[in-house]
Amino acid sequence: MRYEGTFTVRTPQERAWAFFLDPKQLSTCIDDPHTIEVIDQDRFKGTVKAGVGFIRGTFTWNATIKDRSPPHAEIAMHGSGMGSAFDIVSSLDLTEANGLTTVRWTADVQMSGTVASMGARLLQGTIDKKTNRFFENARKLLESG
Amino acid sequence: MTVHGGIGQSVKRKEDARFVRGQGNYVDDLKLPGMLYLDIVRSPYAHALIRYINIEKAMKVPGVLAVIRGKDLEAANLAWMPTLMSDRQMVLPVEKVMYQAQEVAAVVATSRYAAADGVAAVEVEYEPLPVVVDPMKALAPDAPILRPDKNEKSNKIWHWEVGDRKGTEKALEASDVVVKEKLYIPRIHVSSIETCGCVAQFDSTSGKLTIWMTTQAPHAIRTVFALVSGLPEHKIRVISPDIGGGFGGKVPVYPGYVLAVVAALKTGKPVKWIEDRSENIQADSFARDYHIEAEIGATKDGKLKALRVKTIADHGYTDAAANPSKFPAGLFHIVTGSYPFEQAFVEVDGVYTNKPPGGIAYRCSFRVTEAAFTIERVVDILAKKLGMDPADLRMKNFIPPEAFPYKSALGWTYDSGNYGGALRKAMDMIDYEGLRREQGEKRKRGELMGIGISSFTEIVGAGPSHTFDILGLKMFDSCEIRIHPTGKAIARFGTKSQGQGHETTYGQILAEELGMSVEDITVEEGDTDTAPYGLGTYASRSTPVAGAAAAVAARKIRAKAKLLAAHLLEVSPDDLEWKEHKFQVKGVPGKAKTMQEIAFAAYTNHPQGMEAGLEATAYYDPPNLTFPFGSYICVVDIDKETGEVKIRRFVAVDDCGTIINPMIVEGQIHGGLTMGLAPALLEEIQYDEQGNIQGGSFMDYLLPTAVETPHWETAKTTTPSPHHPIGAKGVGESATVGAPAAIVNAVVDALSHLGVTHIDIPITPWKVWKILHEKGVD
Repeated sequence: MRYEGTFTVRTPQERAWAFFLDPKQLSTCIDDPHTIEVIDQDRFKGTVKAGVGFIRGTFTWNATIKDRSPPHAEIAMHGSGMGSAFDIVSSLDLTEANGLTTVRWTADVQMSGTVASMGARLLQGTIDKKTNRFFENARKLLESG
Repeated sequence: MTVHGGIGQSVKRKEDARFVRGQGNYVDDLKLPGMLYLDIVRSPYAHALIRYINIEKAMKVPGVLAVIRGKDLEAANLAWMPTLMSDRQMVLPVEKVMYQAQEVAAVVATSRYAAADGVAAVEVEYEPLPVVVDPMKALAPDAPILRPDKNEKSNKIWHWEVGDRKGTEKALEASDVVVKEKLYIPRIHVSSIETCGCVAQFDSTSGKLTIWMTTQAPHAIRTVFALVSGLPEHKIRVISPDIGGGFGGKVPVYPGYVLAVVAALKTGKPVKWIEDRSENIQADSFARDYHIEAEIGATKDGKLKALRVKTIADHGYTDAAANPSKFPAGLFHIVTGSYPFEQAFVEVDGVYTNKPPGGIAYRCSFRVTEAAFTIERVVDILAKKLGMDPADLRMKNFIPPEAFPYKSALGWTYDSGNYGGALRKAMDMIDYEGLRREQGEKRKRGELMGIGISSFTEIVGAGPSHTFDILGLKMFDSCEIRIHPTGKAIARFGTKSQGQGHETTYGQILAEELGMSVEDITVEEGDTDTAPYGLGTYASRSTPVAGAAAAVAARKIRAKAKLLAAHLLEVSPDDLEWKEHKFQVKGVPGKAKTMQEIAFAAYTNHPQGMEAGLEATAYYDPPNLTFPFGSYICVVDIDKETGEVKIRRFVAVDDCGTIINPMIVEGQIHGGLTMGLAPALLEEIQYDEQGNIQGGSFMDYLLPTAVETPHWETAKTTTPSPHHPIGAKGVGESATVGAPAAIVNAVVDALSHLGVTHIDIPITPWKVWKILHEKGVD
């Protein structure tokens, strides 16, 4: 499944870039209870308690920044748990105009296992909701100073 | 004089006394001292290499005693096991997983909860591989090869054909009218109330392995276990206790059974494995998944001439179909149905995909539903094309009653039938002509109403030993009768009831044949240490085969009883006749001996030179299959706003030959009709492109409940089978086989004036609404 969208925030591109490429800062945008451990500049891992509908539990995940050439970045993420697995390859492209930074993002998501089979009908809504929450949180943090 | 519970009486089911009290004895009711529990780690991927399986954390979970992996089984040569169709399937994978929810490892623990915690703690690292879920794509030249161990070049498992290819081609070319339609019969799952499971116990002192398991064929399972494990067959006892529905789903050997046995051998303790509901739906064998292309040719005045059917059969990752060995597509070549085609040709290609094994029956005799659905659908499409009433077209073409025994173009010899009689009866019951008038009026008002007919012919009772075997075991069945001194009896059979009511039905055959009350006969099945060898219960074979064995064994008893009666009455056996359920001196009705009196003499006063006792065993090898039939008529109304199909009336006229217990037969038909409604309107197992099952729980896989089930109106005609000892044909599956076509024909009939010729099942409101929307009706 491929998801994509744009997100515009009143902040300089440089600041947005630094924010989205910093796992610690990104982490504060995720509502679900989670942990994060930085392995090195481009690799981090952790756990997240999340779910779709009634299928909820703890997933372990790891992520790698595959490409970091401003204003373009690519991040690959793999997670598993609850008899399920997911792989996400995500890209970010940033542009700035009139004090606004626009983030064009894409995410190729491959879901397997219980979440994909039992939760298929609820998956789209859940992903939309979580994506919106994530960017709203990011906006608050970026625009608050 | 009639005996209590003889043939034709609606006596109440003997087994229900315990079932309605909650006193049935199912596998999961069994609790043995020190029993351990097994739970299974399953793959989230439909196709992936296994990089490693780390069991360290799982072994630290309190209560976990062992984790079994593929490599542990490989050491004992048990990682793979044979299927019923000369393929092989994994017990646990060593290298890669082939479908989502496949077994990857097994955890053995002191409680079910600990086992589940252990499963969650097993760490498996996978490397995903390209997934093939569409059998047509699987046959494409660039498709990944799924089973290089079987076929390095293609995902095709086999090609099978029957009939005259060239003759059929010519006959189609010579036909005035030819119609062709693609029909997809999707994957469905039997969803019996009881899931699969077992308890395995190994007695190290005696070396005896006992397995209580949910199986429809305990003896065959014992032999297969002996051959696979190397354990001597007399040291294996398979007990199939009460079974909560089988419908074909409890014929295969699933990895869980083997893992429980391995765990019992490894730990020295009894081990229980019971599937949960989602495991049952996601990983057990499936039915159907046939992509069919059917062509039918006829003269312009509606005389059927030729039938050609080409099918792609999706078998999942292994050919684990439950079929007789010689028939890779089962008895699909009954597809000529109730009609005397001069020419017919059928070809089927079996294909591997990344899905669990398919090819088990869904309450039908080896692909007979697929066949009946195909012919009854295309006959309707032809009727539309010819502008004929579908009832008239059928009546014009039925194999006439005087043509039986009838040899079909595809090689079957139908035993008996009166197809026109059944259809006429159904038409009269439902007032067919009146309904057609009503439909015409409604159509003028823009209302959607349809009438669908299905005049199916089944083929059951597998089967004659010259043609039918499973893994080489001939498909006979058996009955052993012992009459006790006081005139009571026990009879044991090689079949196994899963709710069909064998204890009553077999008891009634014996009551009739022996002149005893059905209450005085205990019927036992399912314990391989006590029951005579048999091939089990599926494909409507119990009454045609084991029921016949009951009659033959009873007649052996009667032969000896006659000698005993002659001894007691001091006459020659030739002077006796079996009349009114006792031996009478011909012409002297008062001078007679009942079976009870004779039985007592067999143990207390038998003639010198004769063996004491009154026992007999029969292994019945049927001379032919039986061919039950029926005509169903369904009336539907369609809601134009929602696309919802409402079954207004459904009349089912069945002919299963001699009826043993009319109440049980009616019950079988009611259940079968509901299981025929299910795939027609509700049930389907789908997969997404990654091979994720869509429909792996009852939230997504829709079973009909009382809400969706209409009032069924049933009736019968009786055309006995000429070769069966009591004329019975079998009825467990007729309704499941016949109903889907009647429902689909009714829905398509309701929409035919809009140019609709076919809708693939399940016909959901969404599919109907889309059609109405496209046609501008809503």
